[in-house]
Amino acid sequence: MKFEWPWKNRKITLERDLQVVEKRLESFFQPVAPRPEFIKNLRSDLIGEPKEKSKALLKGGWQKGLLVAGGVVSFFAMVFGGIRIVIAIIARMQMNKKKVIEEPTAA
Amino acid sequence: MVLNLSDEDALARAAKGDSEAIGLLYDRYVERIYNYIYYRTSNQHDAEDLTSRVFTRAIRHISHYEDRGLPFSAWLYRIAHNLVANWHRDNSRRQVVGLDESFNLPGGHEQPEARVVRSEEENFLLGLVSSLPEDRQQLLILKFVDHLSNAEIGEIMGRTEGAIKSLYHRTLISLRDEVKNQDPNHPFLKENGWSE
Repeated sequence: MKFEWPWKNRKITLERDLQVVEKRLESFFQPVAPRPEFIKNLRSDLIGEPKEKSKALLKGGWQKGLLVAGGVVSFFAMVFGGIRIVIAIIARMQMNKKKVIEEPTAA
Repeated sequence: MVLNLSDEDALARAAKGDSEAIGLLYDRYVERIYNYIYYRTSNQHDAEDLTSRVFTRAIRHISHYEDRGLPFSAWLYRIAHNLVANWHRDNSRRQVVGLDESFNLPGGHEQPEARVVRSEEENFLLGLVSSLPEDRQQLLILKFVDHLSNAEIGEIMGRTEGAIKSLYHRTLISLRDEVKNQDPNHPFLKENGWSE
């Protein structure tokens, strides 16, 4: 008869028991299916519907374009206005100079 | 195609505000996070509320996400873990692991007698699992519900793979000892061919 060490038996018993526990836990913890409406609603709350999103992006693009165009027009208007002011100042200065030169001759 | 992106690539795009990439990450993880929270809170209403809070928080901070070698999934689970911990603290009650009306138990076509036996056994296991410390409950949920590896669980719980393996083994032993201490003649033991 083959002799078996007592601790060897204990180890086999423990392993068998743990396998039983593991098996029971496996059948106990089953994945739960969340409500599809919850998943769908949360998705649209957080991210939005894909089509709506692309429309929003398009809308955003138009708005951005208009903003840029407005900025460019304003910039050129400001530059043009600045040049006009400079020219006006120079013209006024030259006219004043002319007056100063002409005045003694007239006298 | 966005659908084929890895988590890391999707995350990089999501951080720049790519809504498709955010949607992809959401679709990949929403059910897993929901399951984790469901088993920690034991009811559908709180599971839905906390799941939405996890994703709201994640999306709000996604642009600040720093890749420190921690996978995106681990980051999400950590957010979920913190929110569940706060929830337990706020409610100052320790609820049992989920078995409410909405619990979708498999085996819906069983005979009523079989269901009763099954329910008794589940209640027995339920009591055992809920008596475990929080970290052990978390480990069991991640392992059996989300089917994560020890390495992945380690990343989420901030421990090494070896530490998780050891914790798991100790958890099984304590469950087995608890069963034997509670009632040596419990049908659960006989049905499962438990050693004397």
